Amino acid sequence: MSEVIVVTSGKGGVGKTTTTANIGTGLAKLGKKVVMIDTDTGLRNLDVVLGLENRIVYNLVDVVEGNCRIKQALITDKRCPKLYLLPTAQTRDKSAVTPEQMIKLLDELKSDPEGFDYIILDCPAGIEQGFQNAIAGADRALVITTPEVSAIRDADRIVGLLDAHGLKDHEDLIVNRIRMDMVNRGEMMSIEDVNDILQLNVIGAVPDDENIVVATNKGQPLVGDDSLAGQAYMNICHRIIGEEVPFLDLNGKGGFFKKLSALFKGGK
Amino acid sequence: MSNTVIIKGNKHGITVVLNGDDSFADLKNSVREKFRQSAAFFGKADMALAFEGRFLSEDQQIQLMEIIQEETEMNILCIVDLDKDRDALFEAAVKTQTELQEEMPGTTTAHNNNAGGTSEGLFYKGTLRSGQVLESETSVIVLGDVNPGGRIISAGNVIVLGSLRGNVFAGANGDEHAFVVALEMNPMQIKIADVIARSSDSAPKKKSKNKGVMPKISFVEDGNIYIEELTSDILEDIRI
Amino acid sequence: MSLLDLFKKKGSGDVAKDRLKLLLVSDRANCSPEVMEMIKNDIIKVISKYMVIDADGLDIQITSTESDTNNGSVPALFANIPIKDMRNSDK
Repeated sequence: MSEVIVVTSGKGGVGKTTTTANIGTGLAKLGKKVVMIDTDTGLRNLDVVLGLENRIVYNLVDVVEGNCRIKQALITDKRCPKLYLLPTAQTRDKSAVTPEQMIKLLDELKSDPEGFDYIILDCPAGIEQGFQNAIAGADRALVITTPEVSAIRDADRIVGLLDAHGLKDHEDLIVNRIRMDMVNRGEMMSIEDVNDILQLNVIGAVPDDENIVVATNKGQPLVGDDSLAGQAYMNICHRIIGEEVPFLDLNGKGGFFKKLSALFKGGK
Repeated sequence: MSNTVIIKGNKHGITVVLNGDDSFADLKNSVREKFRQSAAFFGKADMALAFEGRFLSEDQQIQLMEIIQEETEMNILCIVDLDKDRDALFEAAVKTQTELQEEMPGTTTAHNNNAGGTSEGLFYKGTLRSGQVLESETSVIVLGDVNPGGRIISAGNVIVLGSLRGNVFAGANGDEHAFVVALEMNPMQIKIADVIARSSDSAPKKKSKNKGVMPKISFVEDGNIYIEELTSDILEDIRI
Repeated sequence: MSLLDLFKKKGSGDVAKDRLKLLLVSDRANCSPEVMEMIKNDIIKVISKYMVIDADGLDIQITSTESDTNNGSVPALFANIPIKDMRNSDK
């Protein structure tokens, strides 16, 4: 039975799409069958971050309007055959889809005999129709925030709305773009400071990593590779499927050196 | 016919004092007469309505209310059951009725219209998040935090057993003796009765590492808001 | 691959620029592949009235071209149509 996860934040630009792409790819690398759905109609981005922008034929709006079957709209890539993408339209806007249509679509995906393990919805910024569409059929929410006042404030609002929607106790927090050097100097809020306000289960923290920019440029999510961000995302994927994984030491110098020193120290 | 109907009014509501002896039919006529004469006086106000002097069934109350609405331009928001402090009751009733129309689903978490004065309390367990509003006629006790963007409005006192980082409005009906207590007092804005204070514009103090709680109390004195440590001396001075 | 190629290896920034150019052009022109296919077929039909063309070697794309206005480039329909022969126009 598929689990429907919505990735949301309230504030724009904190890493929802990047997180959706990396979590989706990471879960697929762990052997799960995953479909990611872009719900940011009119400003689609999930396809670009995944490097699949040239493959789009049909999209979410086509599906809910009955112009095509779901399977015709799903895109997959031979680099990662268990990973599917349902892109959205660039030439329409969020009024083109309703929450009821989303629920119907999700039911259809869930009842697919070939079975998806995870359905991940990339939610747009804001609290209007796009947000309502994305949370409509969700079982679980990943709330993304950065350690900044405005992002936390918006995330708090979102959690309130998610609670009211019935997702209380099914919300996990990802703190994104942490810069440990600034935290150590007292110039950036720590994960504890952030969660002091949000009071959610922290499922992961992702450091601000140059490699993310490179990965997006190339259209290749970096989850699972040696970079700190890549490892952090992969750890989150492990936690999503229920495995307990210790938190990365974000003060580390980067994947290779950390692993080396861990070897000498007898491992973490 | 002697004075069957006497109208007593204030800024927020009217009390219609009725003679107990007349038949209901006569009463209706008297009410109609009386309000027709005074319609201009009341204008288009939003008003709460109360009846006194004789027992009226709900149906009778509604009939009288309809007559009043027909004869005047007032907007009767509700009929109030008189019991205690009348003015506070009216004001609160009018205020909450108009505020009810502006809420977004999912933002208001609780709404308490029972006028019990400040000696009764509404308990709320959990964290009040940004965008959520907690309103009560009675005092409010929050077992949790109030996040920035969250709001409490109470005619009575407010006690937050956690961090108060949002907005609080105590003594909302004009009670300057209302107070606000929090384990961690860091509100964006405090208002007690008519006095407002907001947090200083300087950068927030870095939280002390030893996590020792220092409960503070906020109250009005000489038209200003003061925030002090909650000591037993101050507790002595609190009026409920 | 010569040594020079190694030095000239594209940074991801350049890869991103290239991807963006194509992406924006197709966004602006709002042409789905099916529409492109229909345009292609219509062009083949029309040109075939006047010349014999190599339909398989036909290349039609929406691309960008330089323009003096509009900060440098505008979307343009680019068609490369190999001609096999001119049809005799019977008078």
